[in-house]
Amino acid sequence: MKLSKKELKKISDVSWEIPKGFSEFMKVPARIYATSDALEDILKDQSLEQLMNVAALPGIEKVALAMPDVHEGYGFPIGGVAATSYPDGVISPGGIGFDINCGIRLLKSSKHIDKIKDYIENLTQEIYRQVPSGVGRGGALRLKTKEMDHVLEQGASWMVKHGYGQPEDLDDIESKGQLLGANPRCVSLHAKQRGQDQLGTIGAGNHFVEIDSVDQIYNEEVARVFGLFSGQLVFLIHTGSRGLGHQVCTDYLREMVRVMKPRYGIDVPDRQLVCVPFSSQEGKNYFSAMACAANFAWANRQMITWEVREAWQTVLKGNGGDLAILYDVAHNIAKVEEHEIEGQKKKVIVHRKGATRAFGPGHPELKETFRKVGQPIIIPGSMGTASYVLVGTTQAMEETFGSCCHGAGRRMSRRQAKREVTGSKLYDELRKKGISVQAGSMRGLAEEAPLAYKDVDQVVRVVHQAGIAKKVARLVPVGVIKG
Amino acid sequence: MRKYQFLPHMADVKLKVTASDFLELLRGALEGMNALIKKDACKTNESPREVIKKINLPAQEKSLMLIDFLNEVLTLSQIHHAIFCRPQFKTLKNRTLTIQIWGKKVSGFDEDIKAVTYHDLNIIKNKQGLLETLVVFDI
Repeated sequence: MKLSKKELKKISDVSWEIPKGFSEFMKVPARIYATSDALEDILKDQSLEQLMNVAALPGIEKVALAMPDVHEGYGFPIGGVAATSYPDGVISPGGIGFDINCGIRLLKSSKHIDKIKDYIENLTQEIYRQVPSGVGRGGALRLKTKEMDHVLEQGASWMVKHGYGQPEDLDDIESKGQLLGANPRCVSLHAKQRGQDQLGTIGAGNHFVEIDSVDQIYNEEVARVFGLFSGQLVFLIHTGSRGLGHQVCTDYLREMVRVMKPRYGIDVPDRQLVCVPFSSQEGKNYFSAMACAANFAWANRQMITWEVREAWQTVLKGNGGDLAILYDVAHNIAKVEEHEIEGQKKKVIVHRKGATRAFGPGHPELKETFRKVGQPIIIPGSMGTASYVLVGTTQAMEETFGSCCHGAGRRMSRRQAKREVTGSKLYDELRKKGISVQAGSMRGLAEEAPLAYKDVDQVVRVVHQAGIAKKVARLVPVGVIKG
Repeated sequence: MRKYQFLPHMADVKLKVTASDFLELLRGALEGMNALIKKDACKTNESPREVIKKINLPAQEKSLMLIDFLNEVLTLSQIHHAIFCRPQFKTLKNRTLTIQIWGKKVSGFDEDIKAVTYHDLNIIKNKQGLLETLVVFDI
């Protein structure tokens, strides 16, 4: 059933609703955060039809959500959020995605860009040298079987214990970089083999390391709490659980697709939405394996942090000072969280697929400094464009299960992007803008061209206006490292 | 007879495969996937017999067998850093399709395929009486 704009109910200038009664299958309404113009673009692909399918999942609570960076995925739309009742609602691997805990981390320097700009070219090259990137490139750390199991259980804390970071790093990572409930026995040998040499690597596609400077501060008070200042040099690390996470998702989709209907009587309109009750053996095993993959991703970003710190010290000859983590957020994950639904506190399984956790002030999971203002949210733009730091709000807790957008969101296929821009032309354009670039392939660069993405300024404006996150700072890139 | 073509998809890659029968459909889909992972790797003259692997596919709905087959080969490619060409469908015994497949080591891949998805999965018979399917790869 193809939707049209007139069938959507306008809630505000930046939010719309597909009423529950629109389709007999929907168990809850679906809400979309977008401007009127952006909504027209969103309606051109299958995002909202996919969102309606999500609204039909067994045990879904309150509302299915699409963030302003939403685009068509498979099963769930990318930029989708859904919560199912705990423990008997469903868990859907497609609601998390193949790249489990793909996420982003921001590292802060204490330096102003003006003091560092002569080093940017060398720094970009050194990071490219230190952080393996590209398709099929492994890292320096090859884990033995037992070590792999420890990483899967302990995540970033295993890396810190082994010298790849400082204990205080863990306080500034969502879930302290270790999702509880991880059981390595639920992860297949194939998955472990795929991840064996991938710690400390960014991979390809839309993954990157970026050097940015803080271009604008919108909220001085929160920026101070976050340790951000105008002109500050910062780093973004965007990657996930690599082949290990991809294989975990593949393994459990294969298992669930066979048992979903005969064992649990669940039917879904798209097999990529396959799901089982969270409390079932398959559901529990998947959650344990997904937690392992999430931990692997946090360990991966921790290892890359170590590599970036090494590059920083090498180029600045030890005079750069520390690089502290502002925060590390997951984009693709399922978590058991407590939220208020119809006036009652309730445990739910929150699926975020291409969406960021955005806890507001007072949340007990946040460290004390952040508990006063809300959680830092890091929204990367497309290559060569701005990125943002935002802060979580009470309204997000009330409206979106404490969630907001995760990036700019694709608006053009990779193939079309390559037709419209060549990698070498884009490389030259970025250089002209004063951005140093190290990329494994010109083709990969073209696929990630800014024109292939929505305008991140618009996306962030929507979540800010909707009140589900508030702008704190804007970052602009000075160096890009891609696979 | 088999052929494949790539179709536009917003974030990922959609492959259309047409074939005279199911085993040809598996071959065509594999060729399409390999063209993504490492273009023309199967056409070079290097020895294709560097890695030999066996895949067992339990008999079930054919569309699921197709996705399982592609995912198994993808996993083998990633683990062994190899491109697997020339599948030999050995036996259909105890309702299991056994496939022997030869792979050649490669120094790198063109594309990082995360997985083969079940999205909108269906195998149909088209107007020409050929089997036809669409496969979406998450990249």
